[in-house]
Amino acid sequence: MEKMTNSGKLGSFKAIISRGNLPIPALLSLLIVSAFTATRSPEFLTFDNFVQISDQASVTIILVCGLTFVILMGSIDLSVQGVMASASMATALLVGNDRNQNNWGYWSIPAGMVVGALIGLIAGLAVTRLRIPSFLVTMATWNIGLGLAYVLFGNTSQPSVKDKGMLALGLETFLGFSKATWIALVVVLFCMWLQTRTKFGRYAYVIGGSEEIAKLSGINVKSFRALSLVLSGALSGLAGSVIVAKSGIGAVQAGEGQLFLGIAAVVIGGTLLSGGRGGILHSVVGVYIMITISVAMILLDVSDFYQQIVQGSVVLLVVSSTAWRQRRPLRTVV
Amino acid sequence: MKAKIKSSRSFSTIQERGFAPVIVLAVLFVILYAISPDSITPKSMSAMLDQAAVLLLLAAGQCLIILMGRIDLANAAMCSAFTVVTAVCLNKWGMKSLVLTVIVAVVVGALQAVLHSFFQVPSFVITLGFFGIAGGTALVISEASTVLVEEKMRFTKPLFFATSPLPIAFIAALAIVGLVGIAIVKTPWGRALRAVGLNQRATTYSGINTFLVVTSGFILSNLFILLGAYGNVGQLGTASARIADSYLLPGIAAVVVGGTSIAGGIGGLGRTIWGVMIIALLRIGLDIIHVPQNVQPVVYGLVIIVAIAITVDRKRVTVVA
Amino acid sequence: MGIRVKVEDVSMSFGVVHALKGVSIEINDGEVVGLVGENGAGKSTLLKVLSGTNQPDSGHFILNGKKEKFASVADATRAGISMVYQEQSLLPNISVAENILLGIEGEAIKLGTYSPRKVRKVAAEYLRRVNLDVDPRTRTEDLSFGTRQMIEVAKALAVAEFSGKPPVVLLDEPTSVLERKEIKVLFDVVRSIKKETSVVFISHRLEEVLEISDRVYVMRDGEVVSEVKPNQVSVDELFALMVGRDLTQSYFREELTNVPESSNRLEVKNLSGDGFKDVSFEMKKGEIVSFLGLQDSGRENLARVIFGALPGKSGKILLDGERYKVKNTTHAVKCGIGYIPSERKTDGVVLAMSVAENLTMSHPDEVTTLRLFNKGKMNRVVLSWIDRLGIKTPGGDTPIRSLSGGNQQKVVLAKWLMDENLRLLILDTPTRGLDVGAKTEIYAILRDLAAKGISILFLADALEEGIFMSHRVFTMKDGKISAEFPSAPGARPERTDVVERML
Repeated sequence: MEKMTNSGKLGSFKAIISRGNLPIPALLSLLIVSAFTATRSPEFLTFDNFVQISDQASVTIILVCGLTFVILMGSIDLSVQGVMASASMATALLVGNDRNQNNWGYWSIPAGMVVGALIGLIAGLAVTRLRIPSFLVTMATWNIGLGLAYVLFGNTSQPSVKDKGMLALGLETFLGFSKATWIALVVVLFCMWLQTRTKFGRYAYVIGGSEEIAKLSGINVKSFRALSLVLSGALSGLAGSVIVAKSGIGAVQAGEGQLFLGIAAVVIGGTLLSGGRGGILHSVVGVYIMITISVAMILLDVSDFYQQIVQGSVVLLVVSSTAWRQRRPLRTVV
Repeated sequence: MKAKIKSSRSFSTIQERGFAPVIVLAVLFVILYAISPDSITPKSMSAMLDQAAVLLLLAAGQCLIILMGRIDLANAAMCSAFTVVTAVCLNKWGMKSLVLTVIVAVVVGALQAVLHSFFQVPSFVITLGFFGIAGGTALVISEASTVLVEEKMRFTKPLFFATSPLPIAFIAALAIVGLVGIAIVKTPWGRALRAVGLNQRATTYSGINTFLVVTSGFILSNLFILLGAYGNVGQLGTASARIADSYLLPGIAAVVVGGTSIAGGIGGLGRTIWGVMIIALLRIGLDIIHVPQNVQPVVYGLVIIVAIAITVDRKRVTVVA
Repeated sequence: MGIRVKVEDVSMSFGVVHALKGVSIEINDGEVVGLVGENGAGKSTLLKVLSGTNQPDSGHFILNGKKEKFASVADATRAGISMVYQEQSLLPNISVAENILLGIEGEAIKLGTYSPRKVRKVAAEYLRRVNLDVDPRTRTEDLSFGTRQMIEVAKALAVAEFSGKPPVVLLDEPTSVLERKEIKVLFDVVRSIKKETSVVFISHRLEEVLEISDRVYVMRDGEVVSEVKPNQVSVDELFALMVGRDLTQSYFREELTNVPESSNRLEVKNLSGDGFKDVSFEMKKGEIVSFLGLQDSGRENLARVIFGALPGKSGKILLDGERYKVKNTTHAVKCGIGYIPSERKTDGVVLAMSVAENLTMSHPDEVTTLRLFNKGKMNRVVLSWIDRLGIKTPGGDTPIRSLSGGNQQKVVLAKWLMDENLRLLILDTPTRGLDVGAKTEIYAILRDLAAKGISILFLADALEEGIFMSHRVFTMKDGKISAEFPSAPGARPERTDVVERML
């Protein structure tokens, strides 16, 4: 009997590359950008600097993990800044602070995550039950999150963290890296496990690949999509709480700039906005790339104001170049 | 069962014919008058409408995009950027430099449309990217500070500070929006715009150059946004990087509440005018019941969600992501 | 050998089209059942009903002595029936193993946790059974078309067996995308699995069907007309059974046949595009030319390229002797070309707009004054067309979605006829889904147009339509013109000759 073969040495090599779903193009980009930055400033390639960059990246890495699952399924979550605002206010007001008698200690962090998860739940239900596009819903929840943060802020002063444990979390290091970085690492490992070892993670790729086929295969697309928005809310909430630890205050501006940074990171990491491709590692590498770019900009004396322009342009450039290959005549995209 | 079907059919007829926003506006008006009759006077209404002139222009721009089945997330941020650019241009080169601002608006619109159509990238992604670029550009040009427009350069000021009891600025905006609105209903171009939002493939198969139609829609939308920027210059006399950012949600809310379908093709500028008046009145109402400014966007977000949920046409919505 | 699945008296209509009329067949244990028939005979529809993709209007199935109805694909797969569709149903972005076990992971998923090792093992087993030496971890899109087709077979096998019931696998034209040696592998696999898994096999290549099947059903016009054993029948005899007798001629309004003029309207020289290559032909003024071919014949895209809806890759087109460049649909319409797409609801009309708006979509200037729509003109023009073509509608402002299919199609026709300078009308299966009365009206309209000097390029839905409506018949196969037949009342080409050149 004849066989159709795709194995042998070439086959298994191919299999490992594709099985591992490694973000090779993103790593190459990171290499190039890092190399360029290093020419400007040799200290860039030192271990110390890596520690610093990782600390700077930690907050974004946390929220980008949640964002990635949403985007893998073909949706988007624009609410990250609003969720971070609410979560940071909630955390700051629950941990020992100078505004009230609360003293929840470390429990204020999961509380922040719960706030985020609830906002994510609202978004998830609106998208799946009310059939409203995710970009509209999450724009609304972005503002809901901000509004909630303003309400919590009230018209008194900015809450300052007094809890020593919390402040230590933000400032101390462990084995050289900041504790915030370790939190980010735990989140990444957890999400990698979700991505490779759970139905949620595997089906994210299926739903993003083709919602039709997913439905035909009996997958409950609505539940998974809603779940991804809840997770994204929870992780954005965690990011907001970590900022409270690092900055020592609760602020409505906690998440400022994180939306464009996060989306640019996801996109440049190699996750497609149309869904079905990419992953957690891709997005983490993407965060490092974006931060390295911003470092390079500083070294080139480019004003900080250009950050958003760069991030917006990165999104346009990357998305356009990847969409190029999938162009088809008579295809209508709205 | 029969009664239920009958009432839902008449509901959708009201909705399709565009009467719903008028009814909502009337109801809102009555409620607010009941709560606080002192706030509802001809003078305050005129002031309210003048305040809503810029919103009207931005909502009109957004409506054009939504009619085509697309969305413009950069709408408000672009207005901020245009306001800054206009202010700087006026200060530096005077009134003749307005031509430059028009060129910028046209180029931005054309670029968005071309990237979207040519690369086949969804409009929410393209305009999200432009949202960032616009915000950054506004920051760069204004150098993160407030730009004061020279008094003699505030050319639209007379519209906002007229001595007449009528809301002159609003009427001026209304005239422009109304004119374009008529064009949308009465010209082949306008019908093509709506057809593209309903079924772009069939429209292309009818021999209409849908690429040109989409591009013209984006360009016109950005010209509306530019007019909004001109309004800001006159009304506020200052320009800063975030000045118009808060218009995004109310703008979309106005379009949706007015009765334009988020899926495209149905609705129009006339309905958006009613929607703007509803949002303007709502703003007054929120002030009356002392909802803090910072929290008001929450209401607009909820309005959008509720309005779409009520009016979603299940026949046309298939996959929602 | 028992009966595994009995299909009893299944009927199904799509609107006015009777796709299946009281069809009854049997699928026995351990056998391969072949299904043959022309386009529209009902073979695919029968499989879709068996697989639960569509629900029949009447009739049922008998499995294991019990009456069954399938309300969904899930129902059918639970009963052990799975299908390999003509369109690829594998996700390109995940691994082969995950594709095979999608939805049927069973033991491999516990408490939401996924064991890649287990999935790989089970998938590897199925890959072995279809003779594929592929690492189950490979990303699906990295594999060739032919390999992916075999993976679809592996997946169908896995799905059918997962149910625990006697498995049946339905193959809808699996060989149309395969090369010779890949087909041989597929057949070896079918032979090796048929002992436990019954197979239903559709192909338009009759030799293949005769080679692999134990029994063959012949379908025509939604009915099963014959059941034969491969060793008792030749390919030619099978043809004859498929095409059947002739229809009444007056249906095609032959009495209105015109004589085309002598000058060329359209000259196509070596035109190539997506799915077709090196096509050359001519059309005279006032001539009706029909193109017949199967799904991958390339005729649809040929029509679309001429209309400018798709780009052409190379070649030349002359319209009334002048060079015509394929640019876009707007240019084609300006040059006097009209096009009626095959998917009326999605491509032909804008359902949410009115009759008047649809009718005046392509040539709005006829109803405008100073670039603005003139209500009076609009009413006059629209009402006159409603009258001329006999469109049944309460008025011009009626939403077009409330019209019947035939009347909608007339509006689409009127859209092009509005142009006095119409030179060439291209129609892609214009009568599909229409009732008999509507069809014959459209035929009359087309004949009238031809008599006025308009050339008609007609992609026919059915064999008779193509043969009886035209002055010439072209058949296309695999992207090339395979034959040209002159056609006149009383001197029509033989149906079997035409079909032969199509398959």
